[in-house]
Amino acid sequence: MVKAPQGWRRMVISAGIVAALIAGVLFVPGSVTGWAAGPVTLIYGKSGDADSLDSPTSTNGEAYQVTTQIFNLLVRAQPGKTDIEPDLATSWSVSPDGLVWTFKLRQGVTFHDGTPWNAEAAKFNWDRWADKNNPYHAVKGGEYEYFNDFMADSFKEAKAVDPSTLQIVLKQPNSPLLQNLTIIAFQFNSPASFKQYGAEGIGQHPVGTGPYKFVEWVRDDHVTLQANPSFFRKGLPKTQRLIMRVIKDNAARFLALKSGEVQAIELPNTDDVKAAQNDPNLKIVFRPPFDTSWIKFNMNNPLFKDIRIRKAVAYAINRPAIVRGLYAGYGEVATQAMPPGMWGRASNPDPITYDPAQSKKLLAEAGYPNGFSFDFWYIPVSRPYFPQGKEIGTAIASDLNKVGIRAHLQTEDWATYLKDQRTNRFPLYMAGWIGDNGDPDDWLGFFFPKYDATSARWSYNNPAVFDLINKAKSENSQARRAQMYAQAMTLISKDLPNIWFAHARVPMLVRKNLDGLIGQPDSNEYWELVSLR
Amino acid sequence: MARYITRRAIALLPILLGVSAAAFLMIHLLPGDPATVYVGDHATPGSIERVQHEFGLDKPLPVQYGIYLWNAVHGDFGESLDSHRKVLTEFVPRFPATIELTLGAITVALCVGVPIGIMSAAKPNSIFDRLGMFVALAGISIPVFWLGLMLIYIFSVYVHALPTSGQLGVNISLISITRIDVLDGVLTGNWAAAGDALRHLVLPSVTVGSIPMAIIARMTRASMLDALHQDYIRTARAKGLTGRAVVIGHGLRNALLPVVTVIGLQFGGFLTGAILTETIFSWPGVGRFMYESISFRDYPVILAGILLFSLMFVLVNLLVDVLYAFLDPRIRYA
Repeated sequence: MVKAPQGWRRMVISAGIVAALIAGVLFVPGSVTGWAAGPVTLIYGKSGDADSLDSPTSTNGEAYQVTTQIFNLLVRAQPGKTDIEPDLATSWSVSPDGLVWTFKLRQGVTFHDGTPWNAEAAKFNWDRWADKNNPYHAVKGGEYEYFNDFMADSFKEAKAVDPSTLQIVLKQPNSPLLQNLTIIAFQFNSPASFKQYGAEGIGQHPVGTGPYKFVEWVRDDHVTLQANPSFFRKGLPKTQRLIMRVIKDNAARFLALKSGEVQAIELPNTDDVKAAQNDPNLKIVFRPPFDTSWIKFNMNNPLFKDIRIRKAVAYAINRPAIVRGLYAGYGEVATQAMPPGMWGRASNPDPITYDPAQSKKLLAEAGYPNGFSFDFWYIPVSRPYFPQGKEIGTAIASDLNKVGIRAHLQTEDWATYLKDQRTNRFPLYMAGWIGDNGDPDDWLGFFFPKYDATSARWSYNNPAVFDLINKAKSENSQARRAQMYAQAMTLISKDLPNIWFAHARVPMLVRKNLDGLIGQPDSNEYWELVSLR
Repeated sequence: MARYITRRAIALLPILLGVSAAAFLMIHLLPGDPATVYVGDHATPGSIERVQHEFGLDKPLPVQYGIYLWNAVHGDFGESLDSHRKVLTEFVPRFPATIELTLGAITVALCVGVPIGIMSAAKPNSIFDRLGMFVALAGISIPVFWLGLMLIYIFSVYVHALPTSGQLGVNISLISITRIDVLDGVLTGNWAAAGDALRHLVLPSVTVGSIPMAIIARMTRASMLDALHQDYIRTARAKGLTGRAVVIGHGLRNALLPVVTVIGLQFGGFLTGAILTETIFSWPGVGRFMYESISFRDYPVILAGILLFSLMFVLVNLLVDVLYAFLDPRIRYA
C-alpha cells in the first residue's frame, strides 16, 4: 500500500485557489458585455458565409443576404412578397414591340463613396455584366450566371438617354424582364469602386447605394455594416450597425439566439422551433412559401409511360398526412408547380386525392393487380420543400407498399443525385425548386421547356405545353401570360408527369425585443426595416 | 541527434507522397462530381463541361495527379472550387486558429488529466481515485458534439458566463500579429481582447480536450502506479523525503515518458476533434474548413488539408521522440 504523500492537502488547496482565480477572470458578470453588443447593433445569425460580395458574379444565397443591405436594384420585391416596387428606378415603361424598356431613375442618390447614381452609372454596370471584353467583366470564378440565364439571349444594349433615363434595348422580347431584375444579381456597384479596387477587389470592398455601408468582412465569421445616413428611404435603416454572423451549426445558432448573443437566426432545427414557441424571449417569423417539392416520374422508363400507373402511384400516397406529420406545421400540400401568391397559377389543376382503392383498381387495369417493384430515390439533404428527405421518402414507400407497389428506397450523395436527375438512372425520385424571382417562367420555363429522351428531368413530352411556356416568355401582356401559364399547368396536371407534393414556409427565430422583420420569399430580408427595443 | 532528426525529416517525403497518392485516389473514387456541385441547380451539360475543363477535371487521373504534385512542389496547391481563392491563402488565416484551439485543448488535457492520474495513483481505490476515473470515463464516452452543445447550454445560455461561439467578439478590434488571438491580445497590450479571446477559447478547448484528457488521466495513473512500486521510491521514502517530493520528483518524472507518447499519438485526436468542435463553436479554423470542403467536394482543399494534417501528425511524433531524450537521459539517438 502506498502511503498517502504529505503536503497533498496544501497542493489541493493551491490548485483550488488557482482555479478560483481563473474562474474569477472568466466568469465575472461584466464580461457578458465583452461580446454582446449595444442596442443600436443588430446581430443576425446566418447559416453560411458569402463567397463574394460582388453579387452579379455570385449565385450564393448567403452573399445575397449581405449585399441586399449594401446595394439596390432598379426594381425590387415588396416586403414579404414577390410583387414589384420601385427601387433605384421610380417608374418604367416598355415599347409596344417589347424591345425597349425605359426606366426613370431616382434622383439625388449617391453611392457610399459619394459618387452620383445616374444613368451612366447604371449603363456602366450593364456593360460590365453583358460585355465579355469589358475590362471589369472577368472575375476569377465569377459566372454572371443570372445574367446569362435570364438576360443574355435578349439583351442588346443599355443606353444612358439622359442622367435620369436609362433604356434597355433588347434583341427579342423578354417579358419576365422586370421580375428578373428583382434578382439580387442585378444590383448596382459604384463605377468609381471598380477603378479603386479592380474587378477582383470589389467582391471584398462592396460600394453601393443601400441602407448600410460596408465596414469589414472576417471570412467565416462575420460581416459588419454601418448605417448609411444618406440612404434615400428616409428614416431607414433603424439600427446603427448590422452584424451578420456566420454560425453554421443549426443547434449552436439557436443557442446563440437563446443566450442573446444574436437577435435573429435563420433555418432553425424543427425541434428548436417547437422550443422557441414555449420560450417567452423568442418569437417566430416566417418566410412565405416560395418553394415546391414533387415526386418525379421518369417517363422515359417504360413502366411510367402508362398514365394509369402514374395515377395509381399518386392515389396511393397520403400527402396530407405526410405533410402534417413531417413538415413541423409549416407545410401545405401542393396542387401545382408554383406556390400560392404567384400569378399564372391554374385555378383547379389537381384532381388527385388519397384513394388507395382507386389506386388498386388502376393497377389491375394496367395489368399489375399484384403491384410491381422499382427503385425510389429520396433526396439526401434537407431542403425547405423536403425538410426530412429520408423520413418523407420512407412514408411514401410505406404508403405505396399498402397497395402492393414495392418501392426500394435509394439515395446517394447530393452532387451525384443532382447529376443523375439529368440521366435516366432514376425511375421515380424526389425533387424540388426554390424560386429565384416572382415570374412563372422561373418555374415552368426551367422544367418544361423541352423533351429529352436521355433525361428523367425532361422526360415529359407534350409539345403543346412547351409551345405555351416558350411563347409566354415573349408575350407582353401579363394577363395573357398568366392565362398561358395556367393553361400549360392544367395540361401538365392532366398528364401527371409529377406528383406535386408540398410548399413550405420557412421559419426564422427572433428575440422578443426585435420588431419589423418581414420574411422575404427569396430569403433576402430588408434589415433596414428592423428595430430593437 | 541532429543526424537522427535529419534522417527522420527526409523520411517525411515518402510518407507525404504516399499520403497524397492515397488521398488523391480515394477522393476520385468517391461518387459525385465537383463540377455539378459547383454549378448548382442551374447546371446544364455545357456549364458542367466548362467547369470541368476550367479545373482540369476532364483530364485522366494520373495526369491530374502529376500536375497536382508538380504544382504542390512549387507551393501551389490549386484553387478552392468554392471560393476560387488559392488553397494556401485559405489555409494561412485558419491555421493559427486551429493551433490556438489545439494548444488550449492540450492545456486542458494536461492540466486536468495529469493531476487526476497522479491523485488516483497516489490514493488508489480511494474516493479521489474513483471520482477521477469516473471523470476519465465520462471524458472518453461523451460524444464531442453533444458535450460541446451541453457546455454551451450550461455556460452560455443559463449561466451567461461564456460566449457560445466564435474566436473573438464581433465588437472587439485586435491587431493581428500571429493570428492566435489570445497571444495577439497579450503582445499588443490589448487586455480586453486577450480576455475576450480567452473566454471564447474555454468551451471549445474543454470539448476538444475531453477525450485526450481521459486517456492521459488513465495513462498517468497506470504509469504512476507502476513507478510508485519501484525500489527507488521505497529508497526515497526511507531517506525521509516528503510524500510530494517522492510522488512528483521521483514518481512523476519516471512515469511521464509513456504520457508524452500518448500526447503525441493523441495529436491526431486533437485534429479530428477540432473538425467537429470547430463546427459547433463556429471556430474559424482548419477543422471546420475541412468539414465544409468535404461536403462541397472541394478536392484541392481536401487534399491540401489531408497533407497538412499528416505533416503535423508526423512532425509532432518526431518532436515526441526528441523529447524522450530530454526526459530520459538513458535514451540516445544515433
